[in-house]
Amino acid sequence: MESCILIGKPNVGKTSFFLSFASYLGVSKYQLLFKGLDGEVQRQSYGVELAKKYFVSSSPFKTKELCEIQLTIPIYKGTQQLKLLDTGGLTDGIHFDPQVRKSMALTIKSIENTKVLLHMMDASNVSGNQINSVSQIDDQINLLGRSKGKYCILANKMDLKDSQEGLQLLQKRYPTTYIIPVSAINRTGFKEVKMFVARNI
Amino acid sequence: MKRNKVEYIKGKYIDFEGGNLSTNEFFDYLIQQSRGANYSSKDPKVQEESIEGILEELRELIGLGGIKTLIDEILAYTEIQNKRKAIGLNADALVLHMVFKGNPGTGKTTVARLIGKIFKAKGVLSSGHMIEVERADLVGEYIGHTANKVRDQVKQALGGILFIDEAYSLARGGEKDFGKEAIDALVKSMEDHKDNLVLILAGYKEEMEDFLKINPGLKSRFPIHMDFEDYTIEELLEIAESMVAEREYTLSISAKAKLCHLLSQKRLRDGVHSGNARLVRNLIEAAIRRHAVRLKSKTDYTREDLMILIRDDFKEEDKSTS
Repeated sequence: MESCILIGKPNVGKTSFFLSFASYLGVSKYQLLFKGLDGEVQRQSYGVELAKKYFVSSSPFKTKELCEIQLTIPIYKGTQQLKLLDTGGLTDGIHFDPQVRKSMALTIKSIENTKVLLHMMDASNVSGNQINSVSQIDDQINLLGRSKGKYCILANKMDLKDSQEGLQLLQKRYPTTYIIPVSAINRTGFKEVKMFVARNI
Repeated sequence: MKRNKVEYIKGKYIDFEGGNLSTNEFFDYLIQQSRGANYSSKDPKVQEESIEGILEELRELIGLGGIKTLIDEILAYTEIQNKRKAIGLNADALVLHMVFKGNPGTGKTTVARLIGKIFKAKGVLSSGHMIEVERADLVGEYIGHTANKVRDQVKQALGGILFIDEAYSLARGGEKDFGKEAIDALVKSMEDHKDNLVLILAGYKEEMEDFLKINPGLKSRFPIHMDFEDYTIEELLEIAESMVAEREYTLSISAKAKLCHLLSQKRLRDGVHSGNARLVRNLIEAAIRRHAVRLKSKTDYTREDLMILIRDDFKEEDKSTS
């Protein structure tokens, strides 16, 4: 089965997109597979509201484990099974918390084993200097993704007011990469993401 | 070597988790790795060379001007579609099924074989081989036999080209014939395997056109039509020369004149349809045999004698061997 990974800086909305996209593809109950920091694997299922409450938060590094869900995506006339992976955020430099470092190592390991990369950025906060604004690590993920081939950027939080401007900045910064504007809350741009994934698996 | 690399990466992870390596440094390393891996696994240089060789082979074919430009177009099209796909633009699914129309001996099989090789080199097909079948290989003898036969042939051809010679004969044979069933089974499998199979229907121009007219569903499924024109006498002579050169013989001037005479006579008698590249090959092979017989009775001969085909070596073919 092909897998597809969501990566990006902390707090750009990877997990809320992950949950929202899964329910867009018709999942009514999340059957999640967690791979913890010490290699333990857990299988759990959650309802839609509960999952949002548990996993999404406004503080960075909420997600530390790898979280995997199986989705069915329509391709041409048929359908295809697909694994979507949610990961912990990546930052520049060396992080002080060993737990977070472990989480990042886990993320990087799974990037190596995955073909399709969805790189998420926060379009409302492109030029800022916060933990979720675009920085060197994004440029590096971009380079890595482009050399791997099946790669696109998701510009998230398009529902916020600064995001149109941010999107233009992103297009300028990554002129050769396919950028899909999305909003995890309003579910805009999901169709394009679906098409992109379907084309690449 | 490989083991060392695995160990090395493991070390990087330990450094990273221990806080001795920054995320950025780790990524620099990964990018380098990924680029290196892509270069070595693809080896674009070797691929480029081989495709050049095949395209050269195509260019060296005599005549076939329209076909060559059409193939160039198809190649450009596949390349651009792949590039569009790579950067995430909408790309049409590549449907490359073809219809070849032309008389016998106009190069249909040769071109099909080359197309297989080209598509392999371009990565459109996985193996690029060609399976050549005719009616008897596809049409069964009893109910239910046909679909199985077709499926077997398609299975063999997967990753390459399925070349159906005289395809119009599938529609012959009246109402109780299983040919229709074969067509239906073919249509189904060409839809199922459209990304890893190229189907080529070949046959006489008029018959193929009638055949496609009777089966309108078929026509729309074959986006590429190639017309193989009959060779002119001049082109045939050129073909003869290249065939002779390939076998390391030469033609004397009078032999060439005789060959020209034989070909035009054949055309006059049987119409333009007859006398194509295959006839030329048969004439030359017969001439080489006569040349051998002629030399055998001689006691001494030069290098030139061993190579040159003279006027008397060329004779009109027997009716039986045409």
